[in-house]
Amino acid sequence: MAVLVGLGCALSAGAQGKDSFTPMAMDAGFGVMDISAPAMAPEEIIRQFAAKESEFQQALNHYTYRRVARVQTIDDDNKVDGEYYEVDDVIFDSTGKRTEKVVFAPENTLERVSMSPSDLQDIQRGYPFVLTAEEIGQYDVKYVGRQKVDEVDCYVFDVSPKVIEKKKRYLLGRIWVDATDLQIVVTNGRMVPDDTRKNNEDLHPPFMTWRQQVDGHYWFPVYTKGEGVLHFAGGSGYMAQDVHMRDTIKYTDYKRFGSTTKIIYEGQDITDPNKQPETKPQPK
Amino acid sequence: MTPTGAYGIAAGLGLAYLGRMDLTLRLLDGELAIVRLEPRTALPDWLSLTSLPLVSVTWTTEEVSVVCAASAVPAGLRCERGWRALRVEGTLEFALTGVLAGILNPLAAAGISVFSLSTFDSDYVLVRGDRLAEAVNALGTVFCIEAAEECKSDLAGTGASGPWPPASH
Repeated sequence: MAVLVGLGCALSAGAQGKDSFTPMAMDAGFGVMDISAPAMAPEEIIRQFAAKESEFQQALNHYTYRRVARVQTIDDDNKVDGEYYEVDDVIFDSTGKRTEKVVFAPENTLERVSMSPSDLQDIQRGYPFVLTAEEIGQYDVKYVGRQKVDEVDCYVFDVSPKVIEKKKRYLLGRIWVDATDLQIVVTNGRMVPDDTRKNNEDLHPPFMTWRQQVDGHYWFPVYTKGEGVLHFAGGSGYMAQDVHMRDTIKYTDYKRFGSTTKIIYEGQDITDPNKQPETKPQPK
Repeated sequence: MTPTGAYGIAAGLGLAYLGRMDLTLRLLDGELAIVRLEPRTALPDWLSLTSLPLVSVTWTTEEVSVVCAASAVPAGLRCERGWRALRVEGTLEFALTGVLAGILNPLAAAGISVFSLSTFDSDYVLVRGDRLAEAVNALGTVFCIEAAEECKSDLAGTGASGPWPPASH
């Protein structure tokens, strides 16, 4: 817990030189950080896990799933005083193109804040963070150490964007990579950039995303929790205010969608979901 | 997250249409016409049901109303030309409420008249081409607005060459 709180402070300072949010305590379950040098060079670990993430991204592109997103504002009595709630099925249309279908969307009762396009972008693509070999060049990835998350032995890396391009969103935070499967299992940090310009304020709370093995091969995002107090400085037509935010996103019902594309796992074709790789990952 | 009022809409215009910020409106390519035909008129030969981006025919006991590409409509018909269509992206469940109101309220506040259509999957709002920039500016406070590839330049007059409101960073 202490690690996570400390990390949040560092992220804020690194992001923009001043705090636009207060990080909240997230969750326990993290073991002691082993900061000794790993047996494999960190550069090689990074190369291998990025390659595995690319494999996973290709596999994920053939899955449908349901996303349940809840964004709440919390009052001083720790009660919910506004909520955005939406259930979407991430599916394919009749032409095979990825699309999203709104399944349930009750009235949005958020009053102190409104959802910005970047918030929706974060829910769709940022929180279920995947760091592929194609994208890893956009980030500085620094080896931190080795740490257990529950019973999973992980390499830990700090991740920050090298350059922030217009209209793009990036993770500024920390990832835990399964030391055996070499896939991300936990992501913690914030999606950046924030916009702190007067009358354009657009702030984003810290979050943590957990993955689980869903198909026996890859680790899929299953749950995101975000919590933080956003400090809006105020501007023309609105007052300075602190808004306590709480986000929960659940990703469920992963199902393979029919495709002629082959899915390669550790060099083997596992397109048939019933076919197990000849060499199973080492038991943890 | 943006604080309420950051887009300047909370004051005066009310919060009623703040709720659907997550929707995207897509500007469709091409000028549309709204044609009025006599009741019980058969589908005219000049109308191709495959002429995109949008063809709609409504038969009622009082009229036959056609919305289609303006270029397809022959002269001499009772017709309103010069309309542009904005489509609500995605598939909207029938149980959803307030989507159309969320679009119409800011247009009404801006004094822009509309012609609306609903299909099984989505809603379409047509505005006059000469007021398209005003419509995009009014709707851009609430929705993300994109343009079809073929007509991205049509948003240039609004100050937006891509999604509107533009990403501020």
